[in-house]
Amino acid sequence: MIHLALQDLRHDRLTFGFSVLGLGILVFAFLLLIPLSLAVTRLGEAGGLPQNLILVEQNVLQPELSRVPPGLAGSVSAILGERLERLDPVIFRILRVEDHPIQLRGVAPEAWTTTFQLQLVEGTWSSAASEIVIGQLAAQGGGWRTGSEINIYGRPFRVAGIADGPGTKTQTIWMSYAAARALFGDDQGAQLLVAHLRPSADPLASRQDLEDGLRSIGAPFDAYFEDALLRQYGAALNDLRLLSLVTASIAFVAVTLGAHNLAWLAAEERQRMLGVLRAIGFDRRDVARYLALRAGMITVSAYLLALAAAVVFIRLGLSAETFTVGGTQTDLSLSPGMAVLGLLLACAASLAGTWLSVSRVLTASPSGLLGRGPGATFA
Amino acid sequence: MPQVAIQAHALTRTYRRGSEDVRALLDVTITIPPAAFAIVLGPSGSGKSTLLNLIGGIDRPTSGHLTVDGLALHDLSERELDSYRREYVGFLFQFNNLLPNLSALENVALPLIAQGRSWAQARLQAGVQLADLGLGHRVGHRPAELSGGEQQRVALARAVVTRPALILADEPTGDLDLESAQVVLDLMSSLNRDLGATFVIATHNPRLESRATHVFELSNGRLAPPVPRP
Ligand SMILES: Nc1ncnc2c1ncn2[C@@H]1O[C@H](COP(=O)(O)OP(=O)(O)OP(=O)(O)O)[C@@H](O)[C@H]1O
Ligand SMILES: [Mg+2]
Repeated sequence: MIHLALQDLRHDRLTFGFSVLGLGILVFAFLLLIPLSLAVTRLGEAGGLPQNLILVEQNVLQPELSRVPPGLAGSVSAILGERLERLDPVIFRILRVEDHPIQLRGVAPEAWTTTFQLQLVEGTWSSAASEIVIGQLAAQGGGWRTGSEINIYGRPFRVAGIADGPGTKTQTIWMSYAAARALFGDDQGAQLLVAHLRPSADPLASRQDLEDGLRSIGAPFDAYFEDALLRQYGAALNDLRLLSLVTASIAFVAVTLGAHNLAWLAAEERQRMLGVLRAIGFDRRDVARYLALRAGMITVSAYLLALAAAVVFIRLGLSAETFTVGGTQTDLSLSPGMAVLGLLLACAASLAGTWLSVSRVLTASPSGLLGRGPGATFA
Repeated sequence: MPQVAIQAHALTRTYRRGSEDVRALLDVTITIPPAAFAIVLGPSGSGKSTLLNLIGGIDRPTSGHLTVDGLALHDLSERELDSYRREYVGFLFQFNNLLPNLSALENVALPLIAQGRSWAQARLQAGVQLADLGLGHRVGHRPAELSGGEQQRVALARAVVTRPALILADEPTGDLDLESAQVVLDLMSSLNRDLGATFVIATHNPRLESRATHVFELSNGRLAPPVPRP
């Protein structure tokens, strides 16, 4: 029966080709949409540091537009008192650096290892004003290494080292507060204040006190946990995720229906042929096996074709499996597990389609099958 | 070579079409001895195909008895009918009904595959059968690349390749020109002689009558009185 199904497809290449192509496009859409929605999900869940409270000006949509006035740090220290471990102003920018979207953070180097818990992956911490430390994702994204010269905002900097820290899902460049201030000028000052709480402090209560205190003195600032800021910053991402999940589901339903339709069509147009097979002595199981194999071969071919296309597309089209939304990077990749799962689902859909569509054909008498369609033999 | 006697008793097949019953075959009682070359005549719609379908086990009688080689077809399960067709029957259809995507050789090999033979073995045997019927040079062609007469000879090869005891042919020459029809008929009667297989042929073609050992005539589903044989 394998041979029969193979020959059937081999000699009917046009049908085979179009079936594979039609189904393949659906599978391709499915294969791209699933990792996309997973990637967006991860983006929304980028973990933060629960002991860090970030103060941002109220009603600014993007953190880089926020501005921290000189007196704010004093108020925050007064409100949090003992609970405060460190308080740092941060100069925050999203820039294109050599064509890569980058988050630049200018903050005192003492805060790097404490507040932001960065760890050196290679190189050293920067010692001069013209030296910077870059995050691992930025190093991958920009192709930079320790010792690289990078032009930022019109001025050359040297990469002293590469660092990584928890909650860093963005391509980030770190420089000292002083260096950033020298680079961007004085007029905009810091965008954010980061209050690093002592481990003993209750983050939620601290945040409440801080917001109450700031409101009572009329300071228009919100306090977020780092991940909350990220989430707000990427508010649209949740909609995007829902949308891509919905589209992925539609694509999957389309794959199922497509496989079902192919099987149904194959059984319908082949009634006479199936009648001949039955008359010749093949039993129902043989005929079912033939149809299932034929549908299975089309499904597997379509799936492998779409998988190859999706892998090529992700690798080439979306540069090295990275997928960046406003400087926030996430992984867009097809894991082998996902690929295998998809294949199993597609095969199951195709088998279910075959079963649903051919049960009528299988229970018909051979003469009934032969009598149908044009050129009915015995009619 | 097994020889097969066919006995039908009060064989009836009715179809439901809408609210009315169509009596395709009514109360037919016949006996066809082993190795016969039997012809079933009758106008269109008289029930010839219906009778062949019942004998071939691709349809079931509404009532009556039908035994072939002692097997009571009306009592067989679906599975038993499958194996009856596989082991006993070779079909030759009017529109040859070859599978268009398979070569002549593969078409002829199919009944052997159904019997569980390997493709290699089936191909070999199919090749011999095709050569026997003068189609040795056509084995690799697909049906569309063959003439009508050649297609029907391939179909004949497929019908006889398993050496069935019973060969059923429904209008085997209906679609062919006289010359091609003659070739197919000659082949059928020589196979009847050489293999000792029982042939039952439904036809309009009066030429066949001269070769027949038994002639039955149907009219409106009923058996007409026996035709006097010269
Ligand atoms: N599946 C079916 N459903 C309903 N009626 C049928 C069916 N098959 C055959 N019939 C009817 O049964 C009668 C006998 O049909 P059958 O095909 O046996 O005739 P036939 O002698 O083979 O005719 P022809 O020479 O045209 O092939 C016809 O009236 C036909 O319309
Ligand atoms: Mg007929």
